Amino acid sequence: MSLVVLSFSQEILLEEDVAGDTIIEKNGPNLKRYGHFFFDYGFFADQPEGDGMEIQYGFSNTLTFGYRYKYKLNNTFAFGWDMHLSSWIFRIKQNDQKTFPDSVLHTKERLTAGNLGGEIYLRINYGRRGNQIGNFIDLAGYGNWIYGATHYTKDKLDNPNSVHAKIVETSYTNLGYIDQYAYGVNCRLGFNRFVLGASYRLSDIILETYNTYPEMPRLSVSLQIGIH
Amino acid sequence: MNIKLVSFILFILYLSDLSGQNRYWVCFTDKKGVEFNPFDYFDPKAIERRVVNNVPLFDSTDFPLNQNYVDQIQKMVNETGFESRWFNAMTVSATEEQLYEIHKLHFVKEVFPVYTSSEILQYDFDTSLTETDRDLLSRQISRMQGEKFEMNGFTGKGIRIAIFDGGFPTVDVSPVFEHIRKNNRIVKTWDFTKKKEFVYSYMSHGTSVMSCVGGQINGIKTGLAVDAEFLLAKTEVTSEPFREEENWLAAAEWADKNGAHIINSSLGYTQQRYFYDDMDGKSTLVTRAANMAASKGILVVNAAGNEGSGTWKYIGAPADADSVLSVGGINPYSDYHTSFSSFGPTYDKRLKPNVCAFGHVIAAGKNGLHETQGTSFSSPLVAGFAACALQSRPGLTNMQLFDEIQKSADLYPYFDYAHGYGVPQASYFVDSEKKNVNPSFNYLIEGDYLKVLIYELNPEDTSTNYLYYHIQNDKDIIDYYAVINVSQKEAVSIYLPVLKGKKIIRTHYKHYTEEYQINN
Repeated sequence: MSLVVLSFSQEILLEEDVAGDTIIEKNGPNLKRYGHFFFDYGFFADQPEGDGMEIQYGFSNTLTFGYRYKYKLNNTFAFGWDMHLSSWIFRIKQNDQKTFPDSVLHTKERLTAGNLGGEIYLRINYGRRGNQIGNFIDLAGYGNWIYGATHYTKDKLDNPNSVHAKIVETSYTNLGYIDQYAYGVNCRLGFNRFVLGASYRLSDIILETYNTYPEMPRLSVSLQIGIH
Repeated sequence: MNIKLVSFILFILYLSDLSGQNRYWVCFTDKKGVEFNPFDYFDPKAIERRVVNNVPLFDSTDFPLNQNYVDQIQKMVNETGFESRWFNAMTVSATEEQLYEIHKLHFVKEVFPVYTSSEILQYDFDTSLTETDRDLLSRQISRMQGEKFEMNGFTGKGIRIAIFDGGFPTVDVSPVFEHIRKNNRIVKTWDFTKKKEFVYSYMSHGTSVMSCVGGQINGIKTGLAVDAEFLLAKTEVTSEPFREEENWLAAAEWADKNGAHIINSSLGYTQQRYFYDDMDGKSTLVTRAANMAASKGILVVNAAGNEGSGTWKYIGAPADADSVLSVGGINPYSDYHTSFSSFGPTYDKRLKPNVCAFGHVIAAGKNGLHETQGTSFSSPLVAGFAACALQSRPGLTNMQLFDEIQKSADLYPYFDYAHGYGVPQASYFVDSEKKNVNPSFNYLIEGDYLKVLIYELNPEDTSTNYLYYHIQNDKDIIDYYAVINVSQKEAVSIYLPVLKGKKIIRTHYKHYTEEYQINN
């Protein structure tokens, strides 16, 4: 309340503008609008489609950081959008069946794709809650731009090579067989800030012209933490 | 798709209990044909309290539920819970189909959900304290002039205090409560979460709270009411299910039946289950239960809450109840509002908290004395104070005691939404003569400005130079309040033309309060 002018050198210990404070709030976890950041970590839960590659379960994972916005319709329904930055890592098993992207075996090999994307979702809330996110189910569709993909190999040599190295790491970027865009559906089961998620990619990320290559795993499950 | 994954997802959905049973209140239309003998049901102290408070010996809210109705409901549902005499209702776990049949019964008035989420010894007790802690322990009593109660023999004797909390571990063995145990002054205990008598386990919060009501170690008080009697009720669980409010109501009815004069509830329910607009003194179950307890003649003392520096900010339930003495916290080192103490007003703009006390205290934990903080400990300090005050004035009703405690507070008649009326003072109850308070400031109009001019200033003693002022509007609601540390005689200067719609400026300095009526 700027109407009050204190004399100089007085120390204000406590000051409350009650009229301003008690304006009806519209932004909050269970109010009209709300936005928050989230962090998501998951694992791919199926194998590639087609022959020539298997992934290592538990080591092939997804990492996502994003911002989610929610608009409340009523106590049960809400909708919103998110924007996120994701990383998909497919760790390739080294075995006799491997032909993707070639049949050369390495100590370690992985395909990594960086995504920038967005999602729209419908939220169904259930159970009583005050001004907090509460329990919910989200049904969502997402679209991503794959801004970069890297094929990485690591080889530990028994004997040093011609440049006297025993470990050789190689990164291949600007991969011609990776599609630039991906889309799919998500489903989440949330308990306030803790969320279990499942994601299924509907699109292919291996271009059609590379029909000898297997399609990367589509299904992942994850644990998400809402930062609120 | 991987079959194991599908099974896992289905298992998670099952755990989320999307299609399971919920709990409901079933409210009855009447208590026809029910007989009741108050002398069989109530503890003698409950009868005595009703007489002192001019409350009817009994009314229909004390009658038990109609047993025929209860029996019929029991046959129709899977599980029944608490039977509330006060609200003529019972809780049940039922499916949608069972509820549909219950609704058809002629004696069922209403059914609504109770939302529940899908629920000691020989030991060493460390009494060592630093010098700072010993000083704090002494001051948490002396700040309320507790020594004056003690000098006049008022220690809560004969007053029965119910404490609702999440557990009372080591209260049965700790030396801090030995003086209570050896005189059998823990009258009754009940665990409402597990429906058994044993409460001496679980959360140690209750132990610390009880020590601030009436604990004592090596002759040194940790709370004022060392000679009070106690009823201990466990109503809380760590996971905070919605059932806790049902437990609170059950504990209040139990406390009433067993003769409690005072309930201390260092508990609050806020954003997990409510919005600020529910803090209107009548919306939440626990607030209505607290008001009902007050209507039975019990003084309910409740913590204001610790949301002051959080997004919620305001008092929770049942601190919003009109008849509940809500207690905020002050910092013992600065002697004004401590940052975490929840602010008033209620959503419907009533004054809360009512009073305040230290929000940083020395309390007894499971294994020793320790410093702790929270309005959870301000509330029991005032509950202990209330017991001593009631002992000094045995004829007071609960609401008279409520008013007297407010009037005893050191800012009265000044108030604000951080401190209420200030810290209650024992001298109000025991001193035969009231001290005259000399004016310590005056108002002066200079042009468009209203100035507050201090008469005397001691710049070397900054502890006494706090000036409180607020601006109240024509609906008697405070629009603005502040506390300043005065260092010059012209303490405040207010530009009057912007005060349209405002009614009063009220200022408090060195125990003196004066109003200025704004002419619009």
